[in-house]
Amino acid sequence: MTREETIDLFLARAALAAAGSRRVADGAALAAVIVQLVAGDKTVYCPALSPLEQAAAAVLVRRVEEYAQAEVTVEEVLAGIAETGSIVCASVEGRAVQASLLPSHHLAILPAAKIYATLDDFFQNLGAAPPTNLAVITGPSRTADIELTLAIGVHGPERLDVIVV
Amino acid sequence: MSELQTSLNFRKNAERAVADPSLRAAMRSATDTFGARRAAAFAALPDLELLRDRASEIRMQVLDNLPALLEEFGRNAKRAGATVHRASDAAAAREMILALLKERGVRMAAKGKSMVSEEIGLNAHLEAAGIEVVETDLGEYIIQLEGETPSHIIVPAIHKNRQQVGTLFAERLGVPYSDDPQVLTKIARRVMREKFLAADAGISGANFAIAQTGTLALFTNEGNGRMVTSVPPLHIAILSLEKILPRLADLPTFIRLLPRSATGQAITSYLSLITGTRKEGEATGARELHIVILDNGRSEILAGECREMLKCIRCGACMNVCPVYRTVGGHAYGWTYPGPMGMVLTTLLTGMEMSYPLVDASTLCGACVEVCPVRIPLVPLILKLRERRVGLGLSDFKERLGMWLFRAAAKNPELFFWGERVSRLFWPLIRRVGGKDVAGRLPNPSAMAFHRRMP
Repeated sequence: MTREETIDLFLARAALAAAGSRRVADGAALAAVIVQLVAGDKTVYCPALSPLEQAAAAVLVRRVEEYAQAEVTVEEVLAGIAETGSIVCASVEGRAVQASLLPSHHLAILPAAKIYATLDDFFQNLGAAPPTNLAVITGPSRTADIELTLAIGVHGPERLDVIVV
Repeated sequence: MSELQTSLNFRKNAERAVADPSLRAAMRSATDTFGARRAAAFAALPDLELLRDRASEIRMQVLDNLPALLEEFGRNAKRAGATVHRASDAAAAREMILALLKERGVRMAAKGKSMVSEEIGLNAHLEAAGIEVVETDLGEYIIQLEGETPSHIIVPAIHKNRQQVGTLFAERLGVPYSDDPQVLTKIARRVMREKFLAADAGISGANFAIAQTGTLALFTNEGNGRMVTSVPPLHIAILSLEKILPRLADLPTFIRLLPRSATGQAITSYLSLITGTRKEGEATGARELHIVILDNGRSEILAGECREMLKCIRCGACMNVCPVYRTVGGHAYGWTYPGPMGMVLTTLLTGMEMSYPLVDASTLCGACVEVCPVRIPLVPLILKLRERRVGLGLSDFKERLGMWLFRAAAKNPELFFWGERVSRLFWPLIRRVGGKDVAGRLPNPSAMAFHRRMP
């Protein structure tokens, strides 16, 4: 699989899992998409630890310091897995994995270089000492506990957007 | 749970279930849906048979090296900051967890779905000691409100329809009635979010424990598994000892098989990996992690001829295809685990004396063997258990009498010849004594025996 094919597969599989998925060229284009996806009146948590997060943070109107109080989290994630259309969040660089869990809208920034083709590729690269919390996330929170009818947004986000840069 | 086991009443339980049309409709539609979703999910996966071989092989390796792998897991989990406890039986595990919670003054614990906690009857024990336990999986929450036990290991409230859930929520939570699953889900989200943030402890199970790194792996869709394991300061995980996998690199095989077999999903919304406690420079992770590893009779199973049952990864696929389970539902089995895997595991864990009628809960059609992702030979295991039941003298009296008569006759040609004649003469009487379910199903004795036609 070429790099481009891996990225295309990732985008297609993420969409299958009911995540909004799109690809942008650079930080400026990322900021433009974030303006479209996040309404100005929403409270947003964005740790602004990486250059891409900083580009995103610059266009956010109502940033808050506590993810528990935010309606939206905008953050760069650790990795993507094309096989399943998953993103990976982990307790690295002082990041909180709950930031991708508590707010009802999770917007993940995923640098294309961090996309692994398969689950095996990802787990082989994880090494022998994984971070304390690691979450492989595929689509929004869901349940089918009542009559096997799909309902979105039980405990985690009801909306997940992934933007590949 | 163990003290509430009603497996001995399996026939009566089953009769009651069969007479309940709404239960049967719910079971039928749920198991049909799961069966179809599972088939569709695997149709898109090329090397299914190879994957099943691989999964079966890994699980056998685990069983062959269990003591060493458990030790390796314990060592690595400890190094990552967890405390590992071994519990020999249900009572020991319950006491251990209660003591941990009491010592820390815990008043309320948020709980993720765990069949092992059902097996040891954890909730009742903690609640009797004054600790509030809130089930946070939507299905578990529904049956907790109703005071019931799960009827399916993946979808615990599979036996309830949307109107019943709507009424339950309206009565118990004081919310306006709705039978829209999306609205009901939102209500549960709001109620439980408060509980998560207020809980002093989180209690969870685990799908796998990775020996190489001391990591716990949890598959969830709702996100409650992530909540209970990372939001409260104290996390207690309970798992049975066969849940070990050797290496992180073994996980992809099971990620590909478990959700597909369970719900027909290519992967669950969330896979959480928890390795020890919060470390220097980390913003999340429980401050304290206790891992309780339960034996409760499994070491004995491991040493016996039915050890392959311990390969089970609790996907529930065998239930969804089982003609008996589909008809009678999960509660009829009378203990924690229903369906084909349940009848075998229940008999092995609780003893034949407590569960022998369950051994009949199979047509031996083999549908369970066809779908099992780790290739557990369920039909041969059921046959072994039936043999064991005969050996213990626990089989039905009429069955024993019939077998004894047949054996006597088969050993003696004269007796066989006369037996044939006599049975033809008294056939109507035999049918009446034998019961229409047993003798009534046999063909009438023929006028000319087969062996007489031989030249």
